[in-house]
Amino acid sequence: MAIFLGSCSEEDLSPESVIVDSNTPLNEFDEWLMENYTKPYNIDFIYRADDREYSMDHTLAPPNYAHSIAVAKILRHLWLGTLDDVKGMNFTKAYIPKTIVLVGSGMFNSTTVTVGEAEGGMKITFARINDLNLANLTLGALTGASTYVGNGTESTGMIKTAFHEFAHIMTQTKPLPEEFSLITPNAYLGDDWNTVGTTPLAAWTAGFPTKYSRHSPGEDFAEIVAIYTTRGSTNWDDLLAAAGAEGAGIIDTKVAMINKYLKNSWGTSLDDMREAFEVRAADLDDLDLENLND
Amino acid sequence: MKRITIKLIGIVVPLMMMTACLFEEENIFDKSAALRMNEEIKADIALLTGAENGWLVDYYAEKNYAMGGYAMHWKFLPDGTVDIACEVAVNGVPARQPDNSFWDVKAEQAPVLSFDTYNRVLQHFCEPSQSDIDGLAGDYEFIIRRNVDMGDALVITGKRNGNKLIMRPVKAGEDPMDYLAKVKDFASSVITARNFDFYVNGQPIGTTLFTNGVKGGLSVRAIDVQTTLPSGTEGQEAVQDTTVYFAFTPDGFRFNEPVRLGGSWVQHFVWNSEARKYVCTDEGVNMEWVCTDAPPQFNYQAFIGDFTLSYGGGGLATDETVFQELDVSIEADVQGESYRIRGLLLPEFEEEYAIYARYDPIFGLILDAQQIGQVDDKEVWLAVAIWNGTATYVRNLDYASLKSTDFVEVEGADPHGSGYRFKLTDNVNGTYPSQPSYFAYGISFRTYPAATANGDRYDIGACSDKYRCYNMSLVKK
Repeated sequence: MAIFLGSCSEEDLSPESVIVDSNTPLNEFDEWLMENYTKPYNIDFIYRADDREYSMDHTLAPPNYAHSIAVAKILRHLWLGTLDDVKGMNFTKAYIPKTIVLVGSGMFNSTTVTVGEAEGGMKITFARINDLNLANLTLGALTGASTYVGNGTESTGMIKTAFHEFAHIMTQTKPLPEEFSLITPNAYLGDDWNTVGTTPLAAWTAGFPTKYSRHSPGEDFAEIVAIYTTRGSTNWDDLLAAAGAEGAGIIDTKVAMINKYLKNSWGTSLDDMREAFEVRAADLDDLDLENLND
Repeated sequence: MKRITIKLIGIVVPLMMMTACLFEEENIFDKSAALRMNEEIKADIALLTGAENGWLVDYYAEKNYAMGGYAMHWKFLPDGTVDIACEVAVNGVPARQPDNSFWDVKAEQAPVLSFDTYNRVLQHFCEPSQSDIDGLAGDYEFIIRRNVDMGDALVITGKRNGNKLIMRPVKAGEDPMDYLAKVKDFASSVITARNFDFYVNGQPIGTTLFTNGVKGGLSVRAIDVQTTLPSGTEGQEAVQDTTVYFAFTPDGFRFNEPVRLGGSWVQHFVWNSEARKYVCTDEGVNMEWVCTDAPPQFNYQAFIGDFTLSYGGGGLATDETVFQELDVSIEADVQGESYRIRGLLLPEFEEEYAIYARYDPIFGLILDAQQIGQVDDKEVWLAVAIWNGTATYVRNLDYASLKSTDFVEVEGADPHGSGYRFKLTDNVNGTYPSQPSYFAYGISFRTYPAATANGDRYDIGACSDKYRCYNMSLVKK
């Protein structure tokens, strides 16, 4: 039988690899991303449209190059930087989504627009980046604070979205105690959050920071983390005032439970995160959003 | 029995093993799929960048080509960027001015040409909005089809919406921008030629209509065709009622692929301006579309030269019977499209600010309210405003235009003289029939967005103290 084993002739392995180098020339932004995202955090930062990474349910426009540079620098400074400052770079590297995808346009649904999306902690998509006003980019626009409590409307902001999605990763990694969903157990609306006539004010007085937080306990948690961290104490106090005694009481209960979870599971708190964020936000004006060589 | 079994195994097993070796697989290709794909991509990149003067493309948006085609120039640069220009102004980019963005050829099931960062020109046809969530349904990712025999041309198919585009390399010595300009000039020259009678072999068989729909600020290039032909069964006729989409060329129009019309496969048509008809130039076809619309009233050249601008009234104390005159000169700006007017401003401001007017084959010269400059945070506007005869501007600034409506021959002492008469038009509500042609000619500062025409007046106009003018006319010197 041993004769048979050797009877099929061996084929030489091809000396050529089937893995071929990209034909795309690297530009200075690609090199910057390598140094600032890929090497330190193992993140693939995708700013060139790729429909394998894009939602097939939407027609999407690709990102503007200049906007992509600005967004990369802002996320590096305000998002990754804040997480680094709170829990150290190894923490950020361990939990940050490994793929960041930029989309130029909004992800338009029939009556709403999706501005960010996270897939199981692996990938985060930031949409509508071409709409950022680079000439006058304010912290309020990035966090959505500028159009929040003051005029009773809601808009999200890229940085708020980033912290919102990161909050999901936290609870996907270490689950939020069940009790959180029992604070306002009957007030979650699921996919009807936008159609069952709730104004922002109605959401606040019912004990939610935004209309969208009524989607589900998970979204409620993520909204509180993101807003508390990024929109400043004045804005938060305004929210509590607008929510009235009952609404504010509920929100405070949620905040206390979130703090307990953050402390027990992650060794941090909402105030730690806000403080670190505000230190970084104070430098926003000095951030050069065009030049890659600073 | 046991022995037999063992013997049988002894025979069968070696046979099976041998069989396995005899049918050794031979490679059909000498290289792996990945390497072949890579070579293909390299060849595509070389082909795209190799067209020294770039490529001309009739770009069709909307599914099933339903936007019609717009001529574009794509110039692929070796640094991985591409310059894209269109025959018309889109997305704030003037006609023929390129916008630069990145491109790539990516390995998918076939090589895919991808314009993968935002290009303002191309994305006008692709990007979505809340009111139109698939936008104009153009594509920016295309499957490259090199297996189609098109000579020098390259066929690419939109990945998402499926329109097939034909890329033609610009010929040596051909100026692609000149091509785009000619396409645009031609398109605007036939804007009033919309209704046609359809002739095959000299026999009328139906009508065609160039439709006037607009999408995304651009006209939809569609033709409704109605023909009646013998059906083949005696005494019966076949009525064809169809819509076809086209792109303009410098001297006519073409379809992206041959289309069956009036019993023939046709694709190319050339305009005969003398006879005002389109003639099909495809071989073996005798087809003409004869225009049944009146020719345009005004031609572009008529408004170029030195003129006297006369107007009644002026100043706050208006008197329509007292006529004033200004010497103005009108120059070509973008040929066939716009003019620059000199003489409306005080001489020291002529260089600083430019006043433009549009050409339109139906209305001739149109002077729109327009921003003419910027000083600090204030915008400087030429205000064309409609005055309701009392003290309120009913429409102002960007709502109003002055349009020439007819040419009047005058004998005798009419202070206007023979010339082009202007009517003030409310661009929202239409011409004001009951009002005289007021022309608020004051050139004013205003902060944006302002609600009134007044703003802070700033006297840079040659007759700023007479900022209401009636019954304007342009008289050629």
